[in-house]
Amino acid sequence: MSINKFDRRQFLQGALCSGLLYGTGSLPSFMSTAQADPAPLNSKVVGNLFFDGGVDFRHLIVPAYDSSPDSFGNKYWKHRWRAHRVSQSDQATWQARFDNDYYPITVGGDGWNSGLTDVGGLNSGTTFGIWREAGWLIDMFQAGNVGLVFNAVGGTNRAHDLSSLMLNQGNLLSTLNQQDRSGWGGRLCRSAGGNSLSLLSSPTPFSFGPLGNAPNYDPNAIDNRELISVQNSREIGLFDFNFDDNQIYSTNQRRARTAKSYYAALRQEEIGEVYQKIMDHESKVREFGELIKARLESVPVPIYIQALMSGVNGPNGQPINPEPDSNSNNFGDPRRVLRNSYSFGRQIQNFYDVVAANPELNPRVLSMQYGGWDSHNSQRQIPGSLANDPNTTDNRGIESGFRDIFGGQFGNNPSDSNALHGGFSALWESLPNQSDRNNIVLTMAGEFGRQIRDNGDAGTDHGKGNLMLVIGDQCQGGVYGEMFPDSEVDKYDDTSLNTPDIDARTEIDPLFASVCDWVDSGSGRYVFPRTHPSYSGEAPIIERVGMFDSLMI
Amino acid sequence: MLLTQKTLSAFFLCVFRYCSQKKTVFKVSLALTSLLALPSFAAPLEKEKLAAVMSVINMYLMGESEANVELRLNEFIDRSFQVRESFSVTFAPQGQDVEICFVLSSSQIQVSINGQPQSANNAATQGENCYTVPASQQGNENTIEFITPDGQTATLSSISVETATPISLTLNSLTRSEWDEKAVRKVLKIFAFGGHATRSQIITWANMPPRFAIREMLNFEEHNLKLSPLAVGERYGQTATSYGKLADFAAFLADPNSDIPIPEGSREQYAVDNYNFDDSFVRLVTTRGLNPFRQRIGFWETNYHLAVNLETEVTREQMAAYYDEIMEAHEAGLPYHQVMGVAAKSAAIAMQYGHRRNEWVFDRGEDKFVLNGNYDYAREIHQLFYGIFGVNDPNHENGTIIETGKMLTDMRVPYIDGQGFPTSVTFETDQHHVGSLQILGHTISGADASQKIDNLMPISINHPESLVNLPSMIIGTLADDNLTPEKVVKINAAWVSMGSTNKNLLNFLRAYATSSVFHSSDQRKYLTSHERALFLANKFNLDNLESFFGGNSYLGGRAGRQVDNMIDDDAAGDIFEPLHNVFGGQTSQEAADSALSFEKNYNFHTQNEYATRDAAQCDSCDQGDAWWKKWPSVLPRRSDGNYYVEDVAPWLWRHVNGSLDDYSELERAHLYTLLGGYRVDVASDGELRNGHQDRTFDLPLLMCIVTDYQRREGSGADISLLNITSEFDAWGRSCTPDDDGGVYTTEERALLNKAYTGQEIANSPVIQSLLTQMGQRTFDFQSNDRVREFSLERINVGLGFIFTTPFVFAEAQ
Repeated sequence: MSINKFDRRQFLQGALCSGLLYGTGSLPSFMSTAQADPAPLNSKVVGNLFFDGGVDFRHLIVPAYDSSPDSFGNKYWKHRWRAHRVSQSDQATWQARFDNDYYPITVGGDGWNSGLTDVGGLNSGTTFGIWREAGWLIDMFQAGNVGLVFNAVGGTNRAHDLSSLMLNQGNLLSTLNQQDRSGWGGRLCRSAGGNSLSLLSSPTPFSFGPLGNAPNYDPNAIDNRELISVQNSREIGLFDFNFDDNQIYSTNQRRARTAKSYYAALRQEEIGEVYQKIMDHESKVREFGELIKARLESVPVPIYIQALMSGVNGPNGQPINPEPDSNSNNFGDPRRVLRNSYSFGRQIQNFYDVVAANPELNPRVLSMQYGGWDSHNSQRQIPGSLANDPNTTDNRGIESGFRDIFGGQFGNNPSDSNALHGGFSALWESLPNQSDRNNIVLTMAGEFGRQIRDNGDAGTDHGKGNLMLVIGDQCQGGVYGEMFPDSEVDKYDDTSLNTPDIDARTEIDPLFASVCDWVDSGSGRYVFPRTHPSYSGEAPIIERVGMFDSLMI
Repeated sequence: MLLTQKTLSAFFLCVFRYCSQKKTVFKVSLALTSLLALPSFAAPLEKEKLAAVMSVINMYLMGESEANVELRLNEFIDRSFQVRESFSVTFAPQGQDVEICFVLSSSQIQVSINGQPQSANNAATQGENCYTVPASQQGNENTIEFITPDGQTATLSSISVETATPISLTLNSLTRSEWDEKAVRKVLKIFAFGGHATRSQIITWANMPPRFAIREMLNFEEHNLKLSPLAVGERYGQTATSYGKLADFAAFLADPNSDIPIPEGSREQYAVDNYNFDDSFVRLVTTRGLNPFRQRIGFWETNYHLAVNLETEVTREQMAAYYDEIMEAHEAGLPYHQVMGVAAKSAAIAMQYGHRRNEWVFDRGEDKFVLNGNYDYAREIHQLFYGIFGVNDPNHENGTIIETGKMLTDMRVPYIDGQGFPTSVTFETDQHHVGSLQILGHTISGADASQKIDNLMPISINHPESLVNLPSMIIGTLADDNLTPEKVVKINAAWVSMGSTNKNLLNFLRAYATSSVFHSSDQRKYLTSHERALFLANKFNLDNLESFFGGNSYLGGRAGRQVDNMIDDDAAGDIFEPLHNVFGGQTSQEAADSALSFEKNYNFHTQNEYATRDAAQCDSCDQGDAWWKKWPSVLPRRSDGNYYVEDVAPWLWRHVNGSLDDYSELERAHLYTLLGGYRVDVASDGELRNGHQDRTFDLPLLMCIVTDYQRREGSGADISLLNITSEFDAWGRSCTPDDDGGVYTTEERALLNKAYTGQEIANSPVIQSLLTQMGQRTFDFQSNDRVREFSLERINVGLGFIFTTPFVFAEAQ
């Protein structure tokens, strides 16, 4: 029998794991040195959140209402009244919606803190609002840690699957037949070193690594040597037999030993290439499961992260998010905070744990996802419970998602100090070291934007350009690109245009390449080959040349 | 003459990799008989019983006169003939190479073709034989002669003459000689969640020309009793004739008056309008007497290609109706564009996309008629149903989609107090855009949305983009994760070849399932969590009680295999709640990349192995009666009446993995040890202490005991299996903490941690000796209930091991 093609040496380097020594009777040498405390994050990490479904960020960040009929701030509300659930004709309701539900900021004026940038001065004097319940986003923006990139495009068409592929692969030239192309997260890992951590039940193409070694890897093929799946950091691992028990009496220990011995031996034999992924899972889950378990054994899940998923008491001993309904049997009991707790709350916990166990996992890129943004109808929903329960988890349309992701507070002067911590707010609050936050940058985008006019079903249909976000303590906060382009104003009322949308002015390549360069200087041009000076094809568009040169500090 | 051989056949037991292959002699002259058309409802007969029946039939047949048989091209004679002395078969020259195949019951037959005796490697053997006769060697009359030794008779059956290069819908088909048991099992795994066919039936299909076999394997009838026969002695056989639709079946499960073993108090959950409706679908797939191919396609249509989602506004009743309407359309043989028309006009789709609210109304503010609604389905009816993206069509976004939105107006699904939402759409005209519309470059007319949809569908399916994309969408999701451009060209050509008006999905799938494109070395398909869970359930369950239980415990007894929990554990999205909403459920690629799926499967079969092992027997779970898992009715049994480990192990492997391709020394060693390494504990009075019969060993533990015992007793120690497993000194005092001060020694730990490679196993005389001894052990299903229970449990344990291997996660050559 011949040895299979599994590249042990490369795996050991890439994953910093000596677990494949299993079979010799030894254990990984550094297991005994694993620490049982959260470790400070000493290397740079990108956390990428994919807004699956085509998010309408024009609902999260809106132009201020303007009574002038020809202004953007009037056209917007005139053509978005159904999506915002306000009156079609009573402009006072538009004004009230903005005033009550959006936190106003004027570029260079009120609410615009020093240190924020308006690249190119394109938006001076523009007043916009951030949805008030996105408290963490507001606080982070005002702290200068959020880059809002307008008129960006992740997919060149309005088909979910193709545009998602383009965005995740970091290649707007991808076609549906190119499913086996690497993702930009995987390529960054190959360039910068470290591992690609998927915090999902199944990795997305964003995480897939290229074939070959940096910088001359082949982006059009996949080699997932650095990919590690951590769907539930607190449960990951394969069941193993225990020497504390008498081995003859327990059937499940016999079965565990059989399976373990079998897989270790099978690795020495030649089997079909199709099964190599399964072999890879066995070794990675077994070894990383043990390492993570050792690290996290005495590291509790922080309270605010627990609260995302289940009812707990806060540091003061009082319930976080108590049930407000006095008629409920659960009156006063703590409740979970997130609507999408199972998936997104778990991802936040995984994020925290991966940072805590970063010496073992060597993370470079973390992949996250939040779906449900395909808001063709009822984009904003107002459940009856909301009237008396501002923290209800009943369906609020896409605002539920915004709240889950951006809700909360952070910093010394939060916009709403009574707000509960949402996903990232809880994470930021829970990270024990400033170095953790300094070394994390979050990138957020959907596969496409939505049309600028709502439809007759209180929703919005597929469009093109959109807002994208880069968030981190080392991000140069501010606005990048024209927030509400003058050229859009006429499109609102132009009845010859059936499906007007936001014109794409900036493709993802230069934006995310700048993030890659922050992680590993010079890597951006390889991760996004269209930004390489020697690229001979059509260069990616950018609203202002050099716009992202100082995006990351 | 060229000779091709096929792997054989039910009549012989194969020993791991080296399954013997038999060539059969074909006789020219046949004694005619049409024989053995067992009633399709009949349970498979045990070999001995079958032999007895054949003997009687043979006696009758022997009395008949002999006759020559003239074969025609592409004819399959699905009958058996008793042959004695000399017979001949003739066929006319065909002007092309042909392949002649037949099955013989004996190897004691000489065959000659056009006067040339077939000998040595070309000699026919027992089982199936195929000969290729080139056109150049065909005469004006071609004769095949069969000669039996004096006084002997043999049975000749399954005779066919086919072109040597068969084609179906422009796809190259496998020849009958290429179409074997492995190929049949592959089709069943991919297109029928494995199906429930007996091994005998599978071999029968393997011994037919593929185009004949595939018709029996894949059809849309509510009941396919060859694909899903009732078990021997099945107590719950109503499903062989009834409840073939999803809604009916769910009602059957929920009905307190149904004769099923689910306790009455636990049935309501399976009703169409109740929370475990998706589990009704699981049982629709796993229950015998129905049609797993129909459900496989129904699952793909409603969860992938034409997906709707119960997490949206779609009700369970609408989902069930949607499923059944689509499958009824398929069953009626409608062209695929009409099937999609049925889907497009359904209440489920109208709820899913929200266009049930779409209306064409006059807007006073804008002083014109406008669409009050959304354009979601206006886009997806083209993209998701047909693969039309509007590439290079400047009119797609602002023309086709807008006009399609107008088409989808006044499709009402009104909520009715006390009744909820209806399961069908009412097509109104008051708020419908009644005028003609320009969609996909064609004028689409119709008084209401229904008529317009009907008129659009034939245009959509013949749209150039659809012709290019739809076949790949079908095959890429169902059967092949590695669709190369070359393969796409081939399947597209097959699709186009059906003409513009009758592209039939069933015909397409049958042609593909028997094609060399599907049965090629570069085909690969990772199973999604749903596919794997349902496939493994069909490999585990043997009767309908197990399907109904689905791994649950009722009345104190566990039976059957879990499905829903497996899917939940994998976070793969519930059935009818696809992970990607209208874009479909978990993809094959996602499943393959999911370490979570591997982890959960592994831990289920190790940490929670009891759930598999324990589902073997109960005292009163069958409505107060005892129930026993029916392994004895399907496992290979020798003429001495015994079930040997060395027969059962490869049977189980092939049962799950389709062939013995990956059944090497490594797999054999572990499987033998789990099946045959049990401890025989004999009491002082010589009686078996049954309480210890369940102590199956694993290979490292067994070898640890042997090594430790040898170390202690010296080189002359008796390390026979009997001694190791029955003598307390051997098994009770070796490789235990007790003999070493309460802890395992370093050496013992190393042995228990040891991975025995296939090479080590093959080269170790000790292991080989133990394997030989374990292979010769038998399963005792008769001595007493305790022994019987442990025998059944050991088989479950063996199956659980197979379920843990990488090979259950994918299908590939």
